[in-house]
Amino acid sequence: MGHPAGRHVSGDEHEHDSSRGLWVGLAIGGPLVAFGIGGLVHDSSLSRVWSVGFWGGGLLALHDAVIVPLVLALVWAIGRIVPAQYRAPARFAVLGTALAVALAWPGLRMLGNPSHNPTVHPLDYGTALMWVLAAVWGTALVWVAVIATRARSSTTAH
Amino acid sequence: MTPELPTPRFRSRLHDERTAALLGAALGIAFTTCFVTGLLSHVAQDPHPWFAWPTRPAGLYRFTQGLHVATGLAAIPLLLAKLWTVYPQLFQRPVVRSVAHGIERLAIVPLVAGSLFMLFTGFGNINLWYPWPFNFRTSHYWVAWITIGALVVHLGAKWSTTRHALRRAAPDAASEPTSEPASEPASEPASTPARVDALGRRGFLLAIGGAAAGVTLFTIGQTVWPLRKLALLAPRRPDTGPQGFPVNRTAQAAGVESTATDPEYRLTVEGAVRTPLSFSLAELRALPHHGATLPIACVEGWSASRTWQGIRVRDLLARAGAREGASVRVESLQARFSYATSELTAAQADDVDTLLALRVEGEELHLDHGFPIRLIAPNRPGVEQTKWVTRLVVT
Repeated sequence: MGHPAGRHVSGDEHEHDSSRGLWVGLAIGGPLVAFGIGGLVHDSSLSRVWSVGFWGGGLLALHDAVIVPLVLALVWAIGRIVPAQYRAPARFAVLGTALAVALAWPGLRMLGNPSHNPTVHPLDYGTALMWVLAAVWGTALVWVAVIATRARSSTTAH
Repeated sequence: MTPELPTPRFRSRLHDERTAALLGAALGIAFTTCFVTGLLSHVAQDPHPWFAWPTRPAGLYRFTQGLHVATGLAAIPLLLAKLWTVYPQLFQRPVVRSVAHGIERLAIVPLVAGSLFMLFTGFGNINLWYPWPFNFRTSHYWVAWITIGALVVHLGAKWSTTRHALRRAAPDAASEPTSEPASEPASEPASTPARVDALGRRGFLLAIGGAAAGVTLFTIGQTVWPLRKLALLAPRRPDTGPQGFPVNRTAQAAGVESTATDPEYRLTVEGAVRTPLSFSLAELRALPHHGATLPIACVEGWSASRTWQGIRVRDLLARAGAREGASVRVESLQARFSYATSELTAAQADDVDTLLALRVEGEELHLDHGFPIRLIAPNRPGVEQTKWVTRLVVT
């Protein structure tokens, strides 16, 4: 009952196998979920439990309603601006930049560390981020060069 | 009759089952690693009667917790890529086809919300950044169970699909002339000529793998000493701080600046002992000292190995006449924080490398590192290497 691995994720097939697997998964995973919920309720006040749920749901909503549409828009914009053969390195560079900035954000904004412990975020994260971005964009440029060289070789060969 | 909701079209081949399966497999390994190492950290901090956290190897906790944080960080690009790949399923119609399908879809909510929650709160914790009102450790621990349970349900539901997708060697999306660009919205004409997916599956997975490797490269130096100079995105550097390594709680934050430097300071050994003991700092300095090279390994993922000099806890217990196999509660001068006390199991208390350290690398301890004395023992979480020790209570 195989199907092309290259097709879109649809969930329309494997209904029978999936259903059997689901019940097995539910039998094992369901108690783990219940254990986690029970432990959370036992160890926290009700308002804290709601707060955990709010943050989990909020992150889910933020991801699905804001982050992914933004990424799709970025990817689409790059597809419009950049020639087809160079879109991969361009997307890698732009999304890599976004990821690096997100990871550096607490250091850049000096978030957290309420007791002003000088060993937390000890670097100049602006400069550190520049080095990381140089590595990301350098990789993308090397990627571009490889694509261009291959394209030239291919043209020469023909 | 319910009106049909407009659904976006996703034409990129990168939303296919094989890409989702490959990313899912990588993410499954990462999450399982995080879960297991997280559980180990939990039992290392809260010993259970049924599981004695070993004292050896001395650097085991350093390894497991370093792996926990490094894997969690590397999982960020993996998770985002996986969610992007399966994003079209959000618009699947009909929303529910059967009871089984409904349960499968429902299980995705705790899985995705839990995954995002775990990575976000973990990232916050390593930065000592807590923008939420709940206790980090409690919620991170219990939501891990919820997430791993939902992952097992999801794995069961997708087992057959994933197995087939991984077995079948599908052509790389980029190599197919009919492939379409990655995730352009449906407004773009599908018939644009010479449409070649610039980021085929192999390239896409390579880019995601590269991103995960890059995140690791720029953060792992907080625990892997030779890579410390590359720790550009890590919140800690293992070579930065008083006496050349970080602290988690300063003496000022702990409110011990005056009590720790008080000339009247004393260390007492009491509880289930024949002879309760009390020492001034000068008397402690005069006792026989021993050395041990041990890591400070914090739950936040940073670690640093140092050579410590101090008094063996087992020597003090013997001097006080404690029974063999006694365990010990170590109490700090800090009064109002969690981890102001820690427990030494009998095996830990008896270990030759379990010290009440007065010196590090030949220097008297810095106040932020626990002056006048701190506990240092093999294979313990940093939060349990109690600083500013003032009392040992034998039980």
